[in-house]
Amino acid sequence: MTSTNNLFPQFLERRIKTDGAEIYLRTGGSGPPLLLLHGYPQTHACWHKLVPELAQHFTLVVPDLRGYGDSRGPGAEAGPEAYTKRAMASDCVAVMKSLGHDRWSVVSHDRGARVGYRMALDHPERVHRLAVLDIVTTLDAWTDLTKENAIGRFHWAFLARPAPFPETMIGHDPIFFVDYLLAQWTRSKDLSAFDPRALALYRHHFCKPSVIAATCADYRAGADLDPALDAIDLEAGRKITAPTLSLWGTERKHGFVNEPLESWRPWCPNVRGEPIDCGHFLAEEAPEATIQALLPFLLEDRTN
Amino acid sequence: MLGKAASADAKGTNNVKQIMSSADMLFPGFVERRFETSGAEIFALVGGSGPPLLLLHGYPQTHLMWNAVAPQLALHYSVVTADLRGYGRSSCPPTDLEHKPYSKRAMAHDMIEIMSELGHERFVILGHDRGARVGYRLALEHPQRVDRLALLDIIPTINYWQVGNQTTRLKMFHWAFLAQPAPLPESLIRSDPAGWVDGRLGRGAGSRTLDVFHPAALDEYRRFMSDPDRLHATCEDHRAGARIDVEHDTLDQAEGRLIRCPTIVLWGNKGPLGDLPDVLGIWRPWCVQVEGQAVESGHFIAEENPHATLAALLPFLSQDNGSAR
Repeated sequence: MTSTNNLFPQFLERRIKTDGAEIYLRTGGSGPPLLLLHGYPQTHACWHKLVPELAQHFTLVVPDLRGYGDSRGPGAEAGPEAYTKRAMASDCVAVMKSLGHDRWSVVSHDRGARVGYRMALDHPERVHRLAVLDIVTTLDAWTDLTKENAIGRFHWAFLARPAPFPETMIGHDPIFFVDYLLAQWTRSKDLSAFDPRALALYRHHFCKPSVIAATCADYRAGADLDPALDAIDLEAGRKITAPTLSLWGTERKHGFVNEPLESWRPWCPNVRGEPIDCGHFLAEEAPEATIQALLPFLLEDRTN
Repeated sequence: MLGKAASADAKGTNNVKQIMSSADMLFPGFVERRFETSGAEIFALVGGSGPPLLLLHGYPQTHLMWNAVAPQLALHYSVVTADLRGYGRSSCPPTDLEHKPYSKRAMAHDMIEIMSELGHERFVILGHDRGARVGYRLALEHPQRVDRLALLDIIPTINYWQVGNQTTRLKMFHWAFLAQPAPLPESLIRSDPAGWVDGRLGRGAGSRTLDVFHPAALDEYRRFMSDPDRLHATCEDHRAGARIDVEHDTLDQAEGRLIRCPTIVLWGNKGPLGDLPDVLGIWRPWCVQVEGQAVESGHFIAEENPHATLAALLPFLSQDNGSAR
């Protein structure tokens, strides 16, 4: 019930201690290393539809972010400092090094994509190629002051309220909350895009008070510390040197300042991207189109 | 449960009377009235003597929020303090997909009707928060009815959505939260309505505590929010605020419609507008004549600092703008 054995057949299960966390992950496939990072309110299970194809080309490392899913993270007493994207990226670097990888590509979604681009900024020597699914930078998300953005990203402000306010409100009925958000962010506005086994896992993990607290801490860091890190990098002219692919769902109602590519251009000298015909959950709503967009990008330097 | 006015059983009626007895003490000499408007049943307390003055409360409150200033105002005015539709002891008309029944236009129309029924052709409005939005909408759409307009701690709805910065957005997260499609906010609040009300009030007050709120008022705020119909209605008020109210504001701006009566805006220096550099500058394009100032307070000016509120309001309200009353 709480394992992804049936979603990731023949993948190994690992737990790796990092500075401040214990990361649960699955690994499988063969080829150069590729790290897959999930978003909110999910776990590594969100990649299960892409994994059979990706595993033919890559050695996949598919973790739960600190505090999410089966990974453990610092408790509520640690505060949002423990959930900066820098700290979460640092976990992933430690995990990859511990698995013997020096350099890898990253495919990342939602909160995981914020970890992914932070990793590319903080550890440029580690990140070969970076794919960010359905996000603009954290700084841009906060400086987009349209009404559409305020409403579309209501949860950014809600989850960032001081503890224990959002934790308490969500905690009364976590399954309602996770189901509502998942449905609301799909194109079909229901749960049909999600495999029942994956959905059962999202619900299972989201019912844990430690997960609710950690995910709120993730957003608290996202309201303050993360955009401050972005601002420092922007000021310093620091760039994401890895070739970057930005994919986004066409159904997205958030009011971007501009198209996602325009958010990435100041950060990435080498960025390209395209919309995928779906809602927020590209890997689950449109797995085939997502694979078709990802593979040529990920395999590019091997075919040259 | 309180507020199920249309279907109150004997027990429910008793509850209302109990609350009334403690609430009555807050509004000495006021009498309870109910009005059938074309769209709702509106509850109001009426008292005092002098020119008519309509008091409109905000979220998540009722007419009881005026308890610290109403007795003083009643010395000079015929005070009408109503519960907006969906709030307190007023009814909750069914909503629609556009949230039209909870537009500020519809809420203003209730007030036009009850003031007509009371024989008040022209009146002064003092509104706070959501009630202030009803107040400025009423002044825009029924200029012949409003002598003077006093607004507490708001900027126009469309400007709120435009000027909000990240800090404002975090402080005012409930705007976006309550505007989410049903049943998200309803379901989250329903598990602890009193906790939600206390949170909004405590966070909004300058002291960050509930100390300034009268216990009987606090009790009623918590109680009405525990009614699922009222909880839903108050979310609908905010859904309207994210859509149809903004459309109405947009149209007024496009057509150059102005608030023609003299207007005063007061805001709390420790409230959500406290950080804005030029509150009056935001109001000026909307008003023929506007004045105002910050008050030493959080968001709940009339309860936190009734003395300063009255000191700023009374001179403004007593100015004669030459119209027959």
